[in-house]
Amino acid sequence: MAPNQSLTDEELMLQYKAGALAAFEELVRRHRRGVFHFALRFLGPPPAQAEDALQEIFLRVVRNAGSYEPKAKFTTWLFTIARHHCIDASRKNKFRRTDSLDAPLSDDDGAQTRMDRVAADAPGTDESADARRIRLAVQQALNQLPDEQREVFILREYSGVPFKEIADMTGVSENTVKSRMRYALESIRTHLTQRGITPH
Amino acid sequence: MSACERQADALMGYLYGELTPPEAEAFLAHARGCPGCSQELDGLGAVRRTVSRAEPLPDPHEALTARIFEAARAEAARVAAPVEKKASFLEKLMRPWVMGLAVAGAGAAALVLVSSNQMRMMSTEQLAKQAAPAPVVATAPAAPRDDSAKEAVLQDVSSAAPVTTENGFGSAGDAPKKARRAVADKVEREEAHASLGAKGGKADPRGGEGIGGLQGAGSAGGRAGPTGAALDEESAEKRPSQQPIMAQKKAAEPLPEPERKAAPVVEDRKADARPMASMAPAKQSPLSLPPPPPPAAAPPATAEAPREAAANKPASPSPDPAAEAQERPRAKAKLEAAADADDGAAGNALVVPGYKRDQLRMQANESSKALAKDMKTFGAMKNELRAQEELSAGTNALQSGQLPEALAAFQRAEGLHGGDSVALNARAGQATVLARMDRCGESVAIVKKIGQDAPRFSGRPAVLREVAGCFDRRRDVVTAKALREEADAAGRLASNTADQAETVVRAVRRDAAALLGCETSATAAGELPRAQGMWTVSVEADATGHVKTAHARGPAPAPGLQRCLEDLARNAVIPSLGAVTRADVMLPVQTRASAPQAAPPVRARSRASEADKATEAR
Repeated sequence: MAPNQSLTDEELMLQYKAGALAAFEELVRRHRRGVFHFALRFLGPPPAQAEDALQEIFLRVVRNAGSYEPKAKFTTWLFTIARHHCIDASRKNKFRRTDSLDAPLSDDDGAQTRMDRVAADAPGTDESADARRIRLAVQQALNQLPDEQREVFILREYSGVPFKEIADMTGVSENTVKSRMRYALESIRTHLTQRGITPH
Repeated sequence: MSACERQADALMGYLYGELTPPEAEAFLAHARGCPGCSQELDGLGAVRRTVSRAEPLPDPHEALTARIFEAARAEAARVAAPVEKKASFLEKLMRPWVMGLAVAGAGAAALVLVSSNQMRMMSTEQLAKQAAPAPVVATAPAAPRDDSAKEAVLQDVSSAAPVTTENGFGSAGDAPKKARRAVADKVEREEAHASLGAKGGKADPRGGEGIGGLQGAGSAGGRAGPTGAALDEESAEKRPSQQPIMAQKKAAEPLPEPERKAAPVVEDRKADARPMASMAPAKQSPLSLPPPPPPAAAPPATAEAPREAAANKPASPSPDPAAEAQERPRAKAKLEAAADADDGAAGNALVVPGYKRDQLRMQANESSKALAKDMKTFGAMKNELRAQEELSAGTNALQSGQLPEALAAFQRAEGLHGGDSVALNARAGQATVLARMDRCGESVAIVKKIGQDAPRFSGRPAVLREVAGCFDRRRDVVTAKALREEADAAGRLASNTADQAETVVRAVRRDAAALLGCETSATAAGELPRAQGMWTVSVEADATGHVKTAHARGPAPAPGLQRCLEDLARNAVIPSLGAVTRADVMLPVQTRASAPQAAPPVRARSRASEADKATEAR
């Protein structure tokens, strides 16, 4: 195991703050996937947008490294940066002309929609088709959620951030976070049902 | 609150495994007995299970990771090399070579105009001396020039340069050596041209255009303006009135081949289009400056000679005062007669040497000074307007939540250097945006700088509170508290400042009116800078802008002052700013002097009446 791999995130960040570039690289390797998925779910397709967000988020980590203090978990700090960036990007997107995810990409019947294009490259099986369908439906449901509910859901459900830390990040009470989570789950349930997907 | 409402949060905690064992047990016990909670728990649990079966998302590309590493290295290198910091716009502007270049360019441009005047004058005087015995030098045009004479001319030019540079931009000591050499080149060309008897053809009527000619040079934007030869070339092409004089050139002896093929003065001009240009020596400079005409030069007899026979004074840098005194009345009479005759060629001021030359020179001096001042002021005002526009864009973006766009707009506003107040507001905007982006460190650095530069800035308390909020979100309550305390202190200071500012404004207003002739009292020229120095911060642009705002809400001004200020605001170049000093710049001196006596226009009077009524109503 490489020396850096035995260190906690906070220790790595402090090392990076002191100038150890390798510590930053280790942090990136550890958290790039989680941050990328957070951005991808928050912003929705296309993935390029999430890639830009990922780069920008870690650049902000770089620029703010000098002011980092290990008063909270590194992931809390990191996802705080991520959510701020994604919220800004999301608002920017609202002012831009966006194409409907459900709009067909061509005039052919049964043509793929833009949503269909947002898919991992995987061979088609029944199971994977069902999984893809669920993913698309969930993404659509997320896109329709208010920002505050969406971020709570993604952070808790996918990034595993506890409710208390989400409350710290967002500046609201833990009860409020839990309420937002409940609303988000209920909205997703409704959306899945409308799409013919019965939660079970 | 019902038991289910109390258990709602526990349900979520249980669903995500965040309850302690006793809490989980308690919730389960409740759920077994509550169908609603039990159903809710099952339903939400099913959603979670379904969501977990979704297709996994793709991972980020390795290339992206590599880009992140590269960016981190670049950032580290940037931080480690502070000397490579990009210079601000003002820093670039203040670099000596930039300043020198700007001054040299402006000075050269101004001197080009004056040189053309002098060349034309010299030409005419040479023509006028056709009856006079030609000196040896002038009658031997084919002879190669004496280098020693040329050096002497260079020396003359060097010593004479301060005289000419005071015509235009820059100071006497700013004329570059290159320009002086170019002046010498001009002298040589003039000599040769005079010896051909075709000097008049090279006259540049633009020299008599004053501002027009200077504007042409000034529009080069500090670059080297057109050379005298180029000016002459253009003028010869464009001015039919010069044709009779131009015709003399054809009768003149052509230049010897070796000299004609000498390097041209201006690279992008036709080098051999005219003898004058082709006579240019190898030394080239786009900054042609007029030399004082050599004392002994005189042209041979030409067709214009009879006309100029009476005016046979040589154009020398040290004319005989007595002779000139005798010459001026005659010259003036001639000019008036020519003007009456309405003859384009006869009305040419070149006909009368000496007197008109001095007049034109003085006019060019005044015009160039005024133009320089106006252009500088206009440039500054344009900058400020653009900066204000960027500030507005930044504010709108901030309110819309478009933080990166807001940050960029505020940075652009600061970079435009539109004035102290604009810069302060731009920095405050940046600090606010950064605080909202959770870049607390950067934000607090800016707000500290604001505190050092402008502790009385009225916007400082709000910015400090924004930054405090940033630290709150980071759970740094100590720093947040300190910032809030500082915000409170800054608020008290700003309030005191406003009271002081009001006192100053009243004094400024009174004295600004005095300067503009609305009342008789001391000048405002000293008051306004003092006011600006007293308080460098204001929500409005500056002290002069505050005058316009304050008088609307302050004590009712005298009707005369009210009307005067209204006129001033209307005359401002940028009405929305309406600064008194800008109006002062735009109003000509004689208008200012006569302002109190002049009856205000009807429109102004009605506006003033309305304003007075509004003030009285207050």
